[in-house]
Amino acid sequence: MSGLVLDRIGVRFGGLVALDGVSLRVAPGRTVGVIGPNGAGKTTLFNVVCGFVSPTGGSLTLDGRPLRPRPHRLTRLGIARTLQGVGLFSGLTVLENVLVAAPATPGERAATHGVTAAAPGETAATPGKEVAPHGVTAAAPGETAATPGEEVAPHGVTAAAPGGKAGGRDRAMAALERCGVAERAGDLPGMLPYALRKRVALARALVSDPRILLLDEPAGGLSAREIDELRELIAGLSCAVLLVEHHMDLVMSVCDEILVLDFGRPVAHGTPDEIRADEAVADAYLGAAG
Amino acid sequence: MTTGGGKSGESGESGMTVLRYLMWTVFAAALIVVLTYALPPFRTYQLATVGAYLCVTAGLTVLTGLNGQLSLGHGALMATGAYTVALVQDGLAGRGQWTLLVSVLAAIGTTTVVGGVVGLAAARLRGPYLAGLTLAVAVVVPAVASTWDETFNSDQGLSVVLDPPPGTVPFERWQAWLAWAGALVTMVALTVLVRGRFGREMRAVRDDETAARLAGVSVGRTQVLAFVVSAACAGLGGALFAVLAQSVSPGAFPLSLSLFLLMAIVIGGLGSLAGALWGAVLLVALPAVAHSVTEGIDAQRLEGNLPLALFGLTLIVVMLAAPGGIASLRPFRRPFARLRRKT
Repeated sequence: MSGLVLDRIGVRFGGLVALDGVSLRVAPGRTVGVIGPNGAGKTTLFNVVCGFVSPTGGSLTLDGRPLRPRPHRLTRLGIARTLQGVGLFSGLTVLENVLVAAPATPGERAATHGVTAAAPGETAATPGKEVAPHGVTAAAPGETAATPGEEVAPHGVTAAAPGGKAGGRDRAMAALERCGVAERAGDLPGMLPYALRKRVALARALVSDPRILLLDEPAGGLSAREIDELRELIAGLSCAVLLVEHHMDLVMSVCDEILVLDFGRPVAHGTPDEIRADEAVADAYLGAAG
Repeated sequence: MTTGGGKSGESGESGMTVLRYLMWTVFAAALIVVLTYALPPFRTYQLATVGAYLCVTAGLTVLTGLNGQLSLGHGALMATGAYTVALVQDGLAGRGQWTLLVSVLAAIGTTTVVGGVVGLAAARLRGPYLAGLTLAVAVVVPAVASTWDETFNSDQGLSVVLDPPPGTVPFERWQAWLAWAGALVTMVALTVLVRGRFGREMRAVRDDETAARLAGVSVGRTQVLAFVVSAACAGLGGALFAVLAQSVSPGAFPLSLSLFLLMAIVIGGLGSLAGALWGAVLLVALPAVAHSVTEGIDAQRLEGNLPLALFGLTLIVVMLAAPGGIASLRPFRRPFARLRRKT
């Protein structure tokens, strides 16, 4: 099975069950949301995929092969992640922040590109994804001017650096442009407003040209307008996205499917419409009556 | 801001960059040669000492300022280099001038190995625990020297056998050339390293380890490598000190030396190679000033402690006036800023 597959993942911290029997598949090109109340295990799930936490049960596979994630090897496997707390390097310029994550050896990356490029069928398998961005773009024409990079490179950094031959600097600038922060490349992160810092973090995740992008509360602390811009950005990505988010409108509009967790257990799994109608979800969020 | 060195960061393997480094190095080397002819012997000797210190401070500022690892043990790493030179020189005595190069390389090699071992442990420790570990390394030197006193000759130490300088070159001038050859090689090597990908990764690890991991940087590897590089520089510095003093003893590498080194790079500007130069100058100048002061007022009892007090005072004044160190002050920053803009 292609993509990232989590099979009955369990995590225990001593006596505390953080995750219990969580199964999930992130197919190429799909956008999968993980929601749930605070403490439901969403970030723990991310930490399992990234190798910060070892699961006490279950298994992980990537494209059918068992995955033993180690954080610093992830980008080489085509997995990138943003952090809840942004986590920019305060002593490095915006450009340098992205350069750190830019692949070191172009040759090695070219192979990964091949994988991405050789899977056009997968994109076709998710037509909803292709349709959605246009709708959103049309709905928010005012925002387009703020993110011109998106118009130039709608299919991501891959398009900007096809053979993987372009230097790290070019790739980093392309990623920054895509996220609309290229003109702040020389600034230190501390000089940027919070929303722009989150964009830099996103650019840093995108520069490795991931096949799977893990976003940990990307909308946290953003204004409604900024969330709209983020929505466009996510919808325009060609890679698979695993999204942890509290902002329901965003989750409902960008996700192809949603997994709901409560106290570490999967409560519901389905399309946004199915999740909206699910009673167990309402119980998890509002507390079961009686 | 904690960084001073290589803020623009991007390495250029382009010919222009190499040419510029080469020009700066030739310029600096010419300046040193001119100075060694212009200065009286004692000043030349002090100049040589600045060069030897510069190797150590440059390596330490990269480790502490750019990678965020605090080391209180660099004095001990210097001792490692110095003792290696003394032992190898003794073993190869009288075979010619080339033996010095061999023993200095051996000193760097030995310190690299020791640095690797300490670095492996250091990479697992943070904050005060790291300070504690490196402090232990600094404290252990006299104990090692007296435990294996047949090799290290305990507190008395060893003398360093040196061939006379070639031709009619005075000894101090020869020492200054040797010390600054080492210092310039160190500075060029560290500049290239710091401006390249490794420098960026070191700073990324310093700023946020989790984010660095997710960006594909191996945190442990980066920290161990940074420690090894820094240790090699300290080893070279220590080797040069052995050449300057022509003797090594535990008393030359006390704990206070490590503390002085740390103060020097903070005063100079943490993480800045230009600041390392300021630190090296201060390490030689402040004790000299303290010495002349005590001579003037005839207060021998002050002599031992005055340099420390002066250093403390300088540290306080500089931190109040320029928290980024001397290298961050505008008149000193400008030439380097201009240099970088051209990149």
